[in-house]
Amino acid sequence: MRNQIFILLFSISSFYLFCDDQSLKDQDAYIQLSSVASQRPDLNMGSLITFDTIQLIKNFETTPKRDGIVCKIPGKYLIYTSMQPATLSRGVSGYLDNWYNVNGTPIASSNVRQYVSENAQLAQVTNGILIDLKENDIFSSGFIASDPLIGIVFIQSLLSSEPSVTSYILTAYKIR
Amino acid sequence: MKNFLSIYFSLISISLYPLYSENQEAYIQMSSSVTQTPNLITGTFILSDKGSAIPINNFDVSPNYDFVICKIPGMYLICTGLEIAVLSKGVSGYVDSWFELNGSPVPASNSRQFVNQDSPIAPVTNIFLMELKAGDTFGTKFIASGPNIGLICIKNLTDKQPDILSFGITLVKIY
Repeated sequence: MRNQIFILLFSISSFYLFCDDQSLKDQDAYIQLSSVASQRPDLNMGSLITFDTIQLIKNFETTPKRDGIVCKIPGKYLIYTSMQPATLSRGVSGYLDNWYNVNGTPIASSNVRQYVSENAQLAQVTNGILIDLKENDIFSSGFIASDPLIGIVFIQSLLSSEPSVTSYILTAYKIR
Repeated sequence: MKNFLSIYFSLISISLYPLYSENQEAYIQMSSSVTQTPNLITGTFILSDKGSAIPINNFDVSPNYDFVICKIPGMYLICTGLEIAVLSKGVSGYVDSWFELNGSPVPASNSRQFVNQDSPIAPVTNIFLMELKAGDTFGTKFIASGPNIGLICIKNLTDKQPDILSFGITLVKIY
């Protein structure tokens, strides 16, 4: 009986040691980054949106040109982006499209379009996707506009009590 | 042997406690059915309706329902939805909305949406990931470019359609 109790306790303690909380935490992956630069895309081919500020990063890397994020832990990810399309001059109207790429290939059904005009010169566009990423997959945002004076805009705040409006922000985290 | 067993169980219990507490779930969702306009100089906290915190788990809410209080430290996903609108004819301008943590604005959390006579209403969604500690207070502030621009609630739509609320916020602990 004593031997059975000892084996039971040993098994229980071994089980909890195996399910070490720290090893589970090492599989967490998330990133949040933004841009404080106004950006305009190439009108023929589109461009990748670049970022300059990283708020949070764990088990991700960024590309050297800061135009993509590199997955380090394979899994299912929830990714959201938000941007501020705007006309950059008076008398301009048109649209801006935004989509996602993985390893340079556009993702079907990820494209959104927002119109801006002289009367409604700035808008906020939010986009999101649930996607499987493999280790070293590069995820990026592409954009294109119908006019050279349409892009995404950064707005410097004049108040100390209000943060500046970033032109772009991306949030990604691993859910499985 | 009995002493050994009691010590052994005690050690297992002590080692399990952090695992249990760190993995506690935390979430809250609130909304507003009130049209709101901000202070044009300082901005204003967006108020949620009292009693609208459903569901709620491991959060407290301030008495005015203008911010939430974190009880479980961790990484949180925060989503807000706002219905920006001009509240009078002939008006055009914008609304900015951002997050505040312990009374300080959160960098990179601000967004701006224009509205005018041709496009008098627009939805705004803000999504943010951030670490919260126990006791942290978190709220959403907004400001407008003019006095007749704010957040609108649209009621009395068809029987098959819910009211369009002026504001909604969801926080969920993901790690």
